[in-house]
Amino acid sequence: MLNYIFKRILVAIPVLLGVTLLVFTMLYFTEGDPARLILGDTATEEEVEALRDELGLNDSFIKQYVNYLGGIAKGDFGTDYITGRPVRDEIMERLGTTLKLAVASIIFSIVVAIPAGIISAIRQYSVIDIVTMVIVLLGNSMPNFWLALMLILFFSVFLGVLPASGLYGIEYYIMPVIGISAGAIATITRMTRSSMLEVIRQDYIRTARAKGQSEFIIILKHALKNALIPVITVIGIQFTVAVGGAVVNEQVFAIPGLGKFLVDAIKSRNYQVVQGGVLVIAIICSIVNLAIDLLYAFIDPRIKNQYQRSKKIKMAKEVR
Amino acid sequence: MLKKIVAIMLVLAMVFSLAACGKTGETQPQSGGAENNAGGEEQKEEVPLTPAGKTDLKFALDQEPASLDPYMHTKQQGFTVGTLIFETLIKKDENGKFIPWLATEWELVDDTTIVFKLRDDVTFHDGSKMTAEDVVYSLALGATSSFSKTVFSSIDPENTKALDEYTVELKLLNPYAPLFEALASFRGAILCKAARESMGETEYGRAPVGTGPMKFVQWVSGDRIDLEAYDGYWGEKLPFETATARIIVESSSRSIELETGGVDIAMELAFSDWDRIDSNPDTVLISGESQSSTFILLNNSMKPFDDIRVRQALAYAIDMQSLVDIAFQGNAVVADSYYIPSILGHKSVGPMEYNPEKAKSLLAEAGYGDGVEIDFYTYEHPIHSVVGEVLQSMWGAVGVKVNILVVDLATQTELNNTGKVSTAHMSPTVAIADPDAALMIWPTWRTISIRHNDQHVQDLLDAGRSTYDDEERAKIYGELQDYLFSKTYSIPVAFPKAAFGTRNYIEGLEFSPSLVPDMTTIRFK
Repeated sequence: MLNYIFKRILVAIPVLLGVTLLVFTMLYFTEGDPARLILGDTATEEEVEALRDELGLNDSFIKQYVNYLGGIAKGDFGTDYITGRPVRDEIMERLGTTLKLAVASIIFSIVVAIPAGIISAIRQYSVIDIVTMVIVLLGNSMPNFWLALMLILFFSVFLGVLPASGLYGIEYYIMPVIGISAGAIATITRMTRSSMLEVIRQDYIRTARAKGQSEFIIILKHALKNALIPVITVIGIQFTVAVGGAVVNEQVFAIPGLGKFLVDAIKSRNYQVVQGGVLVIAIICSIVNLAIDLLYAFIDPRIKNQYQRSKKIKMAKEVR
Repeated sequence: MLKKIVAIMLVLAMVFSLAACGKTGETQPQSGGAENNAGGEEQKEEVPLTPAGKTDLKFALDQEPASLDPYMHTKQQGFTVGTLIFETLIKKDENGKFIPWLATEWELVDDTTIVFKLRDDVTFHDGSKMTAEDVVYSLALGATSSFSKTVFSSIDPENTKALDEYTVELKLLNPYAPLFEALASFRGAILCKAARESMGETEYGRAPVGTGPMKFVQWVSGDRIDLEAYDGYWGEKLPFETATARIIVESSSRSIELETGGVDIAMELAFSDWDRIDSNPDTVLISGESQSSTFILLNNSMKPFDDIRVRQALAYAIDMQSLVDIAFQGNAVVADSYYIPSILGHKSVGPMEYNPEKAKSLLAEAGYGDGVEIDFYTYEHPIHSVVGEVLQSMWGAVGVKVNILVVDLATQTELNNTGKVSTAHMSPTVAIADPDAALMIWPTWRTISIRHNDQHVQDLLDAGRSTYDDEERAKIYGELQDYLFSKTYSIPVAFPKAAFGTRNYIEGLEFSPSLVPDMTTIRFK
């Protein structure tokens, strides 16, 4: 198992390198000059040129990229062109907020979506199932922006029970979490439902029923556990979406998160912030993917066996 | 368990349906429904009261400042926070007269020499005394920083010096009439030399040290800037102990925070929120004319705009009143000249009459009788894009086919400054309320795509800049406006309004055409 984790981490390195190269190349060839944007329209050509030199933007593509990689290797993500601060500090300040929100949202999604999916599946075509599916459809199709504003109008303006924006206490989390989870809840519910529907028609479920097992145990232990693999995959994807893609919710709820920071950086051609931010999100994605793969093994003994079998085969080869 | 889930479902369903209803009810603000303060407010008919025990001020900015150092950025948000932290040598009273502030008196020795006497009881937030050295340092910084050069480049940084501990001799490279306007603006703030030199400009911009009534506490990136009262302040204390500038980029969220009492002041309200803030008894809309006007840029070194007949034809083809009404939703007046009436020397020269027939004949005369194709650049901006669409139809009616090219702001800025933009609608920020700053797009050294290369324009600008007598100055700028209009190098469009909103217990906060209101004038009712 450890061997497997180590291998996966090694594989992540070329992936991350590829990400940096891709982002760097795209930014390099994008129109828009950071120096001009910082100094504004009233600066003379000489001043802009001087700032370009200072920021190292006049160096060749290779030199800039190598410099950048060299910095990363030393843990230096470069400088925010606009504030002049280290990109690493800027990202770290926002990463905490983003992760807290993402974790809260994904937990909330799981708590709502998995039971909803199970009930829909075991009461297929019942009223509950139909109502759930309609809500899921709504959750999936409602624009993020609109939902967030509606939440604010209802809870803050109409009821006056929740603060409209910011993130200064537990009550501030409620609306952003609902806003970010809406899409995830819909997707996870649907995945749980279809996966459960498939599993509860299997022979072993019938066998379990035949031996007089209680329905509750059958659903939770026999059916759910087997239905979880695709659900977990979807949860992993939704988590990474919540980390990098909560831009709209961050904007409406005025939350200093990573997603909005990145979008603003793209608009202002703040190259090093974009590169650093994408790299951090890529790292998080890799970690989440690895965690999900490990979770598979934890849930499904068949997959666990596979890991161990490959190890055994290898050992066998070495012995031979 | 099943019941619980059903309950959750029902709650969710309720939330969604009620939220949907909330939209229709939005036009009638619920007064009192969103009261967050335990202290509560009086009924709306009675005199509004500040919530009991209120000692904080919260205001919402529409963008995060890049820096708080007034010489390291050009954004109004940074200056707005700066009005609480920094102070200037002189200020301007409501009658437009310059009044002493950090300087007690000043004397214009000759055209290029001004001597300032300073207060001797002013300390910086780090406890050190403000002396002539700090003033000299700040003035020299203004002259050399690429951000503030546009207003302070006439200052001679080499020869400006301290005569004694509280006397400064300001030397100019050449006579510069806008100087006092610039010094009285938020751009002429006095910085702490020792602190800035030891911290470095980046760090100083993140944690500034000034002489103002509030001192810096912390800046939470992307979220807020916290300030607290400075005990050693030389002047009148403000009615609040702490001030928080929250960064709320989304305009609807900003106005909702104001309506629900989450903030006391919301800057830069969107047109669509004005009526609601205005009609709500808990909030007050403070609007006025911005000092930045908008215009249609024509690239005068590019075909077909290098022909004056084409430029005039384009101007004749625009029904300006309709264009402005549509694009600004009634919140702007048609520009009759190149800067707003409240700035010295404004002369009403336009707009060009709406005459499509004349436009067609001028185009035919210029050899474009069969029509011509031009590009209009815009980015994701609600006003500029609408202007583009309206122009497409108005110019289309006289045979000018307009291709609207939507790029992003960064791309447009680069194209604009490399002379590649053919035509666009622009609203450059006017730094100070002076004709020289208001005509900032016109100097020939500018890199933007207007490219008129007309030395006569530059000569008149230079003359206006170096003339101290207001009457004479006004005459020069009058001539310049006539000349620009006759040449039609650009087409002035609108003098837009802007607005911010406050809770009803805030008073003393004046609308500022620069969109940087002086926050130190705030009092609680």
